[in-house]
Amino acid sequence: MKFYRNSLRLLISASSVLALFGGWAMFAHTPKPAPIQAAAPINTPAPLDFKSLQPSGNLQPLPVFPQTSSVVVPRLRTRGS
Amino acid sequence: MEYFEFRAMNTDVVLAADGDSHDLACAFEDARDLFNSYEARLSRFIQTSELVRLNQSNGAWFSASDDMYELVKQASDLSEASDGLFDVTVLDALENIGYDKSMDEIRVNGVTRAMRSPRRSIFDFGSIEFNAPKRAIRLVRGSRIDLGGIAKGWVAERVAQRLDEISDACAVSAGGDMYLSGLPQGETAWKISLEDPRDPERTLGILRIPSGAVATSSITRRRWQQWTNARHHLIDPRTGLSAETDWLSVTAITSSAAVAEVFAKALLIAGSKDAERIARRAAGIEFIAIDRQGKLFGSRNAKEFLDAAIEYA
Repeated sequence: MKFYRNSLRLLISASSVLALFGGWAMFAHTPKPAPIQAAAPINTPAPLDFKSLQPSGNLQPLPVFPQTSSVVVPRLRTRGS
Repeated sequence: MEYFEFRAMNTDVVLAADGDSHDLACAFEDARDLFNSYEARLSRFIQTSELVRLNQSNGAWFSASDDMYELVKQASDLSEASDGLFDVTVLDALENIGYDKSMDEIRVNGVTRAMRSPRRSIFDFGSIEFNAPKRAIRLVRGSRIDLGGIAKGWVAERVAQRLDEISDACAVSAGGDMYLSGLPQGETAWKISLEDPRDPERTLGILRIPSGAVATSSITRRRWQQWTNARHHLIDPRTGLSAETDWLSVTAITSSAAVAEVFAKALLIAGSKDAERIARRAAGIEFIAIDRQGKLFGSRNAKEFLDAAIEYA
């Protein structure tokens, strides 16, 4: 009985120590949260780090003309939601 | 041409019309009221809205207004047409990446919600049931929807139809999702600036659209930081995360504003590799895409709508 009790105590102690160090290691590897104030302004596009894909050959590249002063920019704009 | 601008549905609304100035002044005020009334019913950010009540129905049949029924049904049909790339059931995923309050509020206060885990909405449109005679909708228990991806175009078209009753020609633009009716006096088409998604102050080209709908979806306007991660509002339903695409914006041109808006989103998510396949799923869709270098790509007949593309030195 005494042996069983001591074994149980040893098991509980060992588990506690392991859990402590395990938790410590887990938090140490968690990225530090950035403060809310550090959020990038919405109008400044965040860096784009998405995969760069090549356009397929079937899409039509559209012609481009030099900008001239005669181009009047219409008030209706595509914007984009 | 008379113009009237205001803010509604968390976006800039522009009304343009030809006609009697006094009549138009009243009609513009009515149009603003109509926008506000639709916003009060369709917004997920207004706790008393019909949409919020639908989302709280918790698996029970919900008796919807005619407008709500029509909009959700159309969204359902378009989800299938877009091969699932448009999906209003991504609300959980949207909130998960921090878009749990209006963009105006995020601009002021930033994002406070941390992502729990990368996940997508586990429900899809196949699980939404409709009862046409009773105008009732049933969402699967726990499923919630967001109509932000379709409602602006749908409302713009309805408001344009109302304005059309007293004007010779009119255009309604809700954040760039627009519906054009008739032709401006002395013109053969409406002229629309094709905005550079990298810099909203710049114009990449001029579109000439005879009438119908034009909608643009972009990943550069509604962006934010969620801790260390850059996010944008365009969710890829296949991953539940901001879509990874090689294009920055897509402008779709067709006859219906809701269809244009849905396909602008679906084509942007699809990117250059898959856009043609998606575009073939809808009749009469033309589109213009802009990539990271500001280069323009278009569907077969898109050139017809491009009056001039501008190259900056």
